Amino acid sequence: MRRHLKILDFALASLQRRPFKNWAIIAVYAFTVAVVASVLFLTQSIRREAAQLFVGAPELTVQRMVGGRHVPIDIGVGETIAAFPSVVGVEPRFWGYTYDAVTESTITIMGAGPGMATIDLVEGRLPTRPTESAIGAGVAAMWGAEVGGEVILVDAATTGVLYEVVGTFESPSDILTNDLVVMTAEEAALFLGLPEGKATDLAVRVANDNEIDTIAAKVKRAFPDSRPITRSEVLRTYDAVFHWRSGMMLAVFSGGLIAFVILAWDKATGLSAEERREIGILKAVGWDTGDVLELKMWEGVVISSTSLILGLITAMVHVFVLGAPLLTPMLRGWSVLFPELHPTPHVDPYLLFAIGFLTVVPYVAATVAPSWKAAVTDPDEVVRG
Amino acid sequence: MSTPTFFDPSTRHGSPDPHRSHPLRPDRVMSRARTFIVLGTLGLVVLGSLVGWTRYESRRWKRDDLPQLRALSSRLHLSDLALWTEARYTRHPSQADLFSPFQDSPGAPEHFPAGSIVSPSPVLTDPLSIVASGSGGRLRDAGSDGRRRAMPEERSPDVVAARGSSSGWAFTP
Repeated sequence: MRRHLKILDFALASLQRRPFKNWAIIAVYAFTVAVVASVLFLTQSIRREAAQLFVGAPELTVQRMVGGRHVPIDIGVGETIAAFPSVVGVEPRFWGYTYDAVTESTITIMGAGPGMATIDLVEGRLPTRPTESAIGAGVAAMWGAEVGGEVILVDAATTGVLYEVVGTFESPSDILTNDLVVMTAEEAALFLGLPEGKATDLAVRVANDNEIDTIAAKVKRAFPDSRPITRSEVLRTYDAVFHWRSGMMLAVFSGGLIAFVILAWDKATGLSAEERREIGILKAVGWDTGDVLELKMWEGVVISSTSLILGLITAMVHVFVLGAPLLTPMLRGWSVLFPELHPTPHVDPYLLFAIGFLTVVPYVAATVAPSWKAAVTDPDEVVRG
Repeated sequence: MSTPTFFDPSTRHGSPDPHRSHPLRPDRVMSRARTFIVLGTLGLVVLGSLVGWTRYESRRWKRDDLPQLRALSSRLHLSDLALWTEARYTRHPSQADLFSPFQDSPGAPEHFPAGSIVSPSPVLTDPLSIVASGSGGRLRDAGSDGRRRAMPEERSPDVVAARGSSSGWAFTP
């Protein structure tokens, strides 16, 4: 044990002789780990949130398709679907978008069907009259509106309509409601210009989860122009969107990995003349090959474990404490009403081990491998170059 | 006769510093290793504390916030996250149809940044799920107009008749 500690001590002394170079490697290495880990932590957290949240989503949503486009569906279709065994209820959804030219933002309009007007996460209540609305935190902040205030929205007939704000959604629900303006279902249909007897789509409640696919198939057979979307498909969509293999996240993730590979490759492609001379001298004063390799292994472990710990701590603080401010601009795109991200802290230990394994092991291997060649060569030859 | 003195860094500024040990004295050996181990352990403790905090926060979110969020999602029938408001296929990716990214401008390249992040729903690209959802019908013989149409295997007359109905809403069996 003491022997290993002495070799570790010697490795630290050796690293201290080139402080600038080694601290630069640690900084780049830790930054790379922090970028990769931030992407993984953020995407994993949002994916997990979506998977947990949409358990409350409708088991089945039925749309009507014409010419490849989603068009309003007959409300009467719901009556037929409600008669299918295992269907608990069908409710039409009235939703759509409106563009606010003043703030250059797109707002989502959602109709709230009959039900409880007071609900958690709403300061005030949901609208019960056509002149009332409940608005998301993003919309409220944009217009400076609050409960008791008023908002003007331009409807499908380009008429400005005044609504009293009777509720605002509270911050924890931002990820679901940030850009929402909720009205009564009838008012939403009127506002969006939906024809009489039509809804945007139908939400279907199914009693038995095992029968959702069967009901979807029955709906499709009964109404060939319909498109049933099951809840598991919604969950799969968000799993794909926030998977590390998708889109921009993959670009950031691969950028970080490539930077790390270049770093490791630079180490693996050979030793500097000074390092070779150092190995030669150690061999000449009596160190055996095993000791030299252990010395190099410790150098690799010191650099990579320091960088890994610093990188992981930075990533956790960045994503879970600060709300991923460096990744948000990439996620935000052109969205005017992008919610403030507060990813629910969640770290899978498996992920930590995977990051550690993928970074520490290749770096240590890349440090030890070139040293092995110098360590097995005759010291005289190594020192003379 | 005075004792010869040798240069010692610890005596540079006057009297010898009793707390400063010689680099080769036993108490200096492995001091770097000890410092590294102590700092490394400290780093691991901080990392472990952060992981513990994330677990605590995760449990708190599940206990306090999740039931309310689920109730909200259920009450308003919300099916998507309010992240990207740029286009309807980014605001409601799970509700988007096959052609939505291009239907406003056929042949146009992707023009919204979020489109680079939002990959198409696997449901749209998985032929198995399309078959499973019952879209596969059988071809019937050419009609009088000479066109072949895909028809559902089963469609009872009452179902066909019910499609024209528009009496009321919020149906229950």
